[in-house]
Amino acid sequence: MTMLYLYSIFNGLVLGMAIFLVSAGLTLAFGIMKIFNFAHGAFFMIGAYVAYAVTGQEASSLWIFLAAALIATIVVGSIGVLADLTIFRRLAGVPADYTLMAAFGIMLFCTGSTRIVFGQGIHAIYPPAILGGIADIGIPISYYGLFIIACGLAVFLMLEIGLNRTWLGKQILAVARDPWMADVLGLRVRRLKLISVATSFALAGLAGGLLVANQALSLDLGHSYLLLAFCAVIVGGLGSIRGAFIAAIIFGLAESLNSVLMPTMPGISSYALLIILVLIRPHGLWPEQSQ
Amino acid sequence: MKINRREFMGGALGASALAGFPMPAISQSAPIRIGCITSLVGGYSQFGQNHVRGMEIAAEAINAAGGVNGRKLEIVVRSDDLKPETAVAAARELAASGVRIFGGVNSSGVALALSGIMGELDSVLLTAAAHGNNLTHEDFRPNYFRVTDYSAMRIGAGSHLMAQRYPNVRVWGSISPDIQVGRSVVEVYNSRLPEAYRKLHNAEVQLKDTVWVKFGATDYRNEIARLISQGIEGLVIGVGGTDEATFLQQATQLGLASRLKAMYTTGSEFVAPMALKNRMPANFWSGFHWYYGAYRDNPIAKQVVETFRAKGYGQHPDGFIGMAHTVVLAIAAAMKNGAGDSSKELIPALEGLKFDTVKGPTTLRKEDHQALCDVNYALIGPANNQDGWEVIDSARIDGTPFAGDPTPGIALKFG
Repeated sequence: MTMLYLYSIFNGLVLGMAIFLVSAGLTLAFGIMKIFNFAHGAFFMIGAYVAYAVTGQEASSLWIFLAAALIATIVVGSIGVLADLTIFRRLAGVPADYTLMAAFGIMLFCTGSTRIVFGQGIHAIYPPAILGGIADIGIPISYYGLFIIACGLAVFLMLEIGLNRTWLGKQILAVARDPWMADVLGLRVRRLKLISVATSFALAGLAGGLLVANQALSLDLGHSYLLLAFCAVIVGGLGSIRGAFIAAIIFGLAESLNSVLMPTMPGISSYALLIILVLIRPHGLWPEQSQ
Repeated sequence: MKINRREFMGGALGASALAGFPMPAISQSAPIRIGCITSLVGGYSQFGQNHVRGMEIAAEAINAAGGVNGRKLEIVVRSDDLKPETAVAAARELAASGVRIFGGVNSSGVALALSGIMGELDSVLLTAAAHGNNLTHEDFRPNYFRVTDYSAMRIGAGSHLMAQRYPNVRVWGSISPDIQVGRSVVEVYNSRLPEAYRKLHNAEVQLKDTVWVKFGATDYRNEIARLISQGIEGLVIGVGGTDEATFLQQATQLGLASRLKAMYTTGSEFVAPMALKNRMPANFWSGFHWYYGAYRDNPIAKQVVETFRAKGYGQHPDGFIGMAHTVVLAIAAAMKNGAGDSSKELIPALEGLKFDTVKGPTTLRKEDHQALCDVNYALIGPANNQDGWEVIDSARIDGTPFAGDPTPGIALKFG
């Protein structure tokens, strides 16, 4: 039984990092645009399909797998630039409801377009051989699981350092916290917003490329992660990368341990946890200063 | 004498009525419109798309042969998005435009919602997929028919097949989603599998606790670890669609699939092999609404397969094609027997109807409107061909003994 708990904790960490990879872009977009980007799940799905188009059912090497994830990042980031220039920027001066509706429309458009390009089939994608193995240390630890944990940590560190320790990151944070003052001080607000939006979309693409081999690929892929990603963003504190990281781990562990502790009520712990944490800390575990 | 437009219209309509002007004749030659309500977005959209294709293939063949009593069939398509409220809105919209016959439907929840409003809309619904036991039992509605098998038949027949083919597999496990259809599957399996082993081998089987999972989960690794720790030899898989592909993908990676001597599913048809390709596990029996390869001797099946391929839809028509086709054949057969397209005429004509389908003769049981037909399974494994998989064996099982007694309004009892 102890082994089952340990295994469950390992899987919870893998799931937590997967949730974080998806929620990182979501919370960044919220920090800048101040909206919940409903299209984020669709862009995550597009990233996964792009990676699949590059690698096929199984990437021949780790480098091809990583290159596919990079291509997915660039493609989805470019779509983000396009979406910002043609839609989000035009809606900057109107109430947030319109932007929300636009994001919903983009989601429908993306799903429909993906369906036309890739069809409606379901695909099982496998990690490259080097990540396909399992280390049996009493519990079966998959190399791909370790890879996802490493990717989650790397993305978290990059965002933390990028936003808090670099000049560009500090400018982005300034725009997120007070765009008017940033504009008065001479920062190129539009350009910084564009970079932020592109980065948040690119993160969705990266998550799609890295997680494509974690579960079956279908048009529903975005929905399956988006709900937990939203939970992580809300509980972590809207717009907070650190908060999303901690909350994603909490939700990953909760989901995973749920199947061991309450096997007849699958999935219930996440919703219970969401209610409890929002009641206890309505502003989030690690509230972002701009909110 | 001056006549205004209102008087002219009134006079003209009155004269037409008195003269028996051909107004009724217009409706008699008008096409019979059949509403196809199914899921055209999301993870189940490929099944929905095949519902549309199946109904259209049947309608085209019937129209090419002169239609039904001289009237052409027209398929009008609406997506339910797998949501009951969307389906109900679509049905109301179509009913307002004169559609009185509905077919398709993937989900049991959607079927339940639609069957509830069919009486109010003076319409008839024939579903081609929804599997819940309740639809023809405790939630029976007179305006609802099911032309395919359902959980009790599918899992009952599958359990019998497993006992037949794997007499030495005696420790079984199950994994199922925590939703109504998942509960139905486990309820049937818990009763029928031990029954089948007792009947065929006079032997007892050990059923381990069911592993319940969230519908739409992306990670089954803990559940797979639990199944491995149970020491099972056989497994019934109640998860379907994308979930089934994800489960099998992770089960093969973690070594569960290679430990199992037998697996059978409720039926995502070709979903798993098309997703996993040459990574398909061995001893995997997929349930089908209709497996075309088992009916090479059936002329209707042959025509459907040929049309499907000629239209460039692919090489492997699935049961969603076959059963949607059957919906249209049932309507046509009832109307050829003299029924009109109103529910008052159509329901009695469909009750007890025996007609030829892609699965051979099928009867719509009078009491609960459940189809009595074959249940199909296919053993699918990896292969070195273009698809990456192949059907190794298949089974046509008479579903009638597994359909249970008709108990409209009363829940099906097991064990």
